[in-house]
Amino acid sequence: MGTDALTLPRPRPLAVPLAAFALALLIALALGITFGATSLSWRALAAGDETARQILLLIRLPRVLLAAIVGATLAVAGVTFQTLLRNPLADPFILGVSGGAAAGAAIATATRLSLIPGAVPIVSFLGACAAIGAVLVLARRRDYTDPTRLLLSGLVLNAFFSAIILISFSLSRQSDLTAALRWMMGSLFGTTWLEVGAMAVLLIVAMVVLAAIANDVRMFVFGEDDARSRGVDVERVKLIGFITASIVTGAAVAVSGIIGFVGLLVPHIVRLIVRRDIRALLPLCALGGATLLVFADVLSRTLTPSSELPIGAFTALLGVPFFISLLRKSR
Amino acid sequence: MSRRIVFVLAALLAFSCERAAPPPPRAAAKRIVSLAPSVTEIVYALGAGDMLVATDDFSDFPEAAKRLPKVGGVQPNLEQIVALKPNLVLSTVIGSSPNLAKALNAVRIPLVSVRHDRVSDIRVAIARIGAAIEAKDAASVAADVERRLEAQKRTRTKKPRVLVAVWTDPLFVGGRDTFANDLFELTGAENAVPPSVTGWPQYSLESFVANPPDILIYPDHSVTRAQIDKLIARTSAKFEAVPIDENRFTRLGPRTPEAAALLNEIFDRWERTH
Amino acid sequence: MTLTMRGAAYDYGEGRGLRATDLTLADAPQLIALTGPNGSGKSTLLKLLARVAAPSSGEIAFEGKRLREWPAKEYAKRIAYLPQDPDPSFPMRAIDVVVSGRAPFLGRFEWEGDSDYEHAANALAMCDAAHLAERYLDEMSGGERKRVFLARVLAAQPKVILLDEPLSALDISHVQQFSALLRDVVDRTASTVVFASHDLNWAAAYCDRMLVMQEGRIALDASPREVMQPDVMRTLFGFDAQAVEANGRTWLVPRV
Repeated sequence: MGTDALTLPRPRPLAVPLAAFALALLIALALGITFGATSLSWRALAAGDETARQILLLIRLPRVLLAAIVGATLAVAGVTFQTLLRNPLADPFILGVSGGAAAGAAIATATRLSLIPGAVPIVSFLGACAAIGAVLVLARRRDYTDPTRLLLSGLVLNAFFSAIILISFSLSRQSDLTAALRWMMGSLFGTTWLEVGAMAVLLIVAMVVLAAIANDVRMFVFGEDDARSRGVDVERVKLIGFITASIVTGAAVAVSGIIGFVGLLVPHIVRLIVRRDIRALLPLCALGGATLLVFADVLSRTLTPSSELPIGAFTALLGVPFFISLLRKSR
Repeated sequence: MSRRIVFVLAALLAFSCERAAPPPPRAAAKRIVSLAPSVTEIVYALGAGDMLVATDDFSDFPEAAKRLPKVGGVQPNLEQIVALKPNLVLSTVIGSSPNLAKALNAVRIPLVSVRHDRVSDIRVAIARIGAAIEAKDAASVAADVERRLEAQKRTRTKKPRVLVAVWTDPLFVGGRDTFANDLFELTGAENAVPPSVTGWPQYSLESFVANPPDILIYPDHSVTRAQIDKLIARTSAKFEAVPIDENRFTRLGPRTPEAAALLNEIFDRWERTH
Repeated sequence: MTLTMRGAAYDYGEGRGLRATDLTLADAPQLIALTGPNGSGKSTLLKLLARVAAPSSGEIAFEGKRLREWPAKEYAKRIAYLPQDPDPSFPMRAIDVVVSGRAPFLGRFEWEGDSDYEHAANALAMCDAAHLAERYLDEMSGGERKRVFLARVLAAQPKVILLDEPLSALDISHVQQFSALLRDVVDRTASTVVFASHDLNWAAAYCDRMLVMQEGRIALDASPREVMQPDVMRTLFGFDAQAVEANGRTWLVPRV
C-alpha cells in the first residue's frame, strides 16, 4: 500500500539552480572586467600596450575576482550563522567579527603601524580572531555554547569595539577619517593578486569544512535537542561552524572593510528562489553572494567619472529591491 | 593637509558660505583664539601675534605660536576656549563645525570664519581678519602676499602634468577647483586629473594608471615614502614622486608664496631633465 | 532489544529533574504510556533515553552496551525521539521533513538516495499522510503535522520510539486517531513506543504498560488496568476519580 518511491516528489536536481547562478556570476564577471573608470581598448591590450595590460591584469581583474570571493565568503558565512543560530537576522558580523577587525584597523592607524604596507590587514585580522575568541569564551557554559549568550556577547563586543574605534580615531594624530570611512563602508581599492590568492585559499578551505559538516548543520533546523537525538554532536558542529565562518569573515573584513547586507540578504534571496537545505544553499549562496558583490563593485567604480562610491551602499541598493520583489512573489 | 581632508570628507557638515558671527567684534580685540594654523600665521603677519591667547594643536609657526596654550585639534575644547575669556575667535569655514558657531554665540563670543579653499581666499582672509582685529596695515600685508605670489608666476613651454596625492590607500587627490590646482597653474604646470574631477575626491586607480602624471606631489606629514612607493608600483610609468612641505603647501596664508617657490624648484628641475 | 536504565539521574538544579531511576524496556514490542503531573520528570526521562542529555549519575545501556560506547549515529538509527513542539526554523515540505529522519544513515558528503526516499514514502503511508508529501508544514493542521513528524521518526525504522507529549494540542478526534496510530505502529513495526501523555484515559485505552512518574521517580510501573484505579489516582495524581465501565474498558471520570 506504500507509495512508489519513483513517483515521490524528490527535490529538483540541484544542477539547474547551480547552473543559473553560475551563469549570473559569469555575466557579472564579464561586466566587471569590461567596465571601469577607463575605457579599455581590447585592441590595445592585444597589441601589448603596457598601460592597458596594467589596468586590466593588475588593477581591474584582481579587484573583480576579490569582489566575487568576498561576496561568496560573506554569503556562505551568513547562511551558516543563520542556520546554526536558528535566527534569520544573523549576519556574518554578528559575533563581534566586524568590531574586532575594525578596531584592529583603527588601532593600527592610530599607532601609525598603518604606514607599514600590509600591516593593517594583519592587525585587523588579529582583531577579528581576538573577538571570535572572546565571544566564544563568554558564551560557553559547562561545555555548552549557548546561542543566546553568543548573540548577546557578539552584540556587546561590537558595541565595545565601536567605542575603541571612535577613541582611536579622535586620538590619532591624523584623524584619518578616510581610513575610518573606508572600513565602515567597505573598499576594494588597490586589490593585489596576493589578496586574491589568500582569500581564495581561505574560502575554499572554509567551504570544504562547512560542506563536511553540512549534513549535521541542516539538522539544526529542527532544534538542537532533535539534532542531538539524530546523532549530531551539536557542540562540536557549532564550534567548527562558528569558528570557520568567523575566521573567513574576519579575513574578508581585513582585506575589504565592512561590506554590509551581503551576508544577511543573500541567504534569504537564495532561499526564496530555491527551497533547499544548507547542503544546497552553501554553493548557491557562494555564487549568489559573488554575483551581488561583483555587480555592486562595477556600479561603485563606474557611476562617478574617475572616482568611486562606497560599495556597501550598492549591495543594499541592489539587494533590497530584489529581495522585496521575491518576497512579494512568494506569498 | 590631512586635517583639511577630514572635513572635506565629512562634507555633509561643511558649509560653503562664510558665517558672520553675531555679535560683531568689539573694538581692538585684545584676546584672540585661533583655531587654524593658517589663521595663526595670518595674525602674526598682521603684527597682532601678541593678542593671541591660545591656538589649536596644530599651529606651530612662527616659533612663538608653539608656546601658546592649545585648545584642541580636530575638535576644539569649548570650555578651555571660554575659560581664556577671548573676545574674538578666528577659524576657517571648513574647520569649524556648525555647533561651534552656535556655542560661541550662546556665550557671546564673536566668531569670524574665513574661507580656505582657493588661493584667492588668502587676500580675503587677510582683509577680514585684519578688519576684525583692526589691524592698520592689513591691506599692505595682503598686497605683499599677492606680490610674492605673482613673483612665482611662470609660463613653461613644456607644462608638467602634476598630481597631488593626500592619501594613497585609497587614493585621494586634489581636483580642478582647489588651491592645489591654483598653485599648479600659477607655477606653469597642469593638474593631471581630468577636468571633471573637482574637490578632493577618491581617485580611481585605473585612471591613475591610465593617465599617470609627470610629477606626483605628496604632503610630507600625511603620506610616507613607503606608501607612495606602493602606489607607484602599480604602474610601470616613470615619473617622479616628490614630497612637499605640508605646512607651507596646505596653510593658505603668508607662506603660500614659499610653497609656490618650492613647486617652481621642483618643476624647474623637471624641465631641465625632460 | 533491551534498553535499561540503572540509577540514572539528571539534575536541573533547584531540586528538579530525575532522581535515581531504574527502567527496563525489553524484547517484546510494547506501547508504553509515560504519565505523571507536570514537572515529574517525564521529558527528562525521555531525553536521557534519547541521548539528548547525559545522566549526571547512573547508567543507561542498550543491548548490553553502555550508551557512551555507542557511536551517536548508530544509536540514533535505533532509538528515535520526537520533542514536544517541533518547529522547524524554515518552511519545509512534508517529504523533506520525513526524509531528514534518515540523516543518521548518511555519510559525510552523501545525499539521500532512492532507498531513503522509499523508507520515507512508506513511513508517510503508514501514518496515512502520503497525500501530504508535497505540502508545506505551515499549510497543515496540527494533527497533520504530528503525523508527518511521526513519519519522520518512523523513516529510520528504529527499535525504540520516544515521543514527548505527542497528543497535546490535538483536537479530540485527532487524539483518538493518533493514539490508534501509535498502537498500529507497535503492532506493525514491532518497535517499542514510549509516549508521554497528560491524557490518562486515552493513554490507558491503547497502551500495554503505564509508567507513572512523581517528583522525579517512577512511582508505578504496571498494566493500565492496575494503574487506572481510583486510589492510585488519588495518591499519585491528587485526582478524585470514579471508575466507569464502558465499551469493555475501564474509564476514570472525575468525581464532581
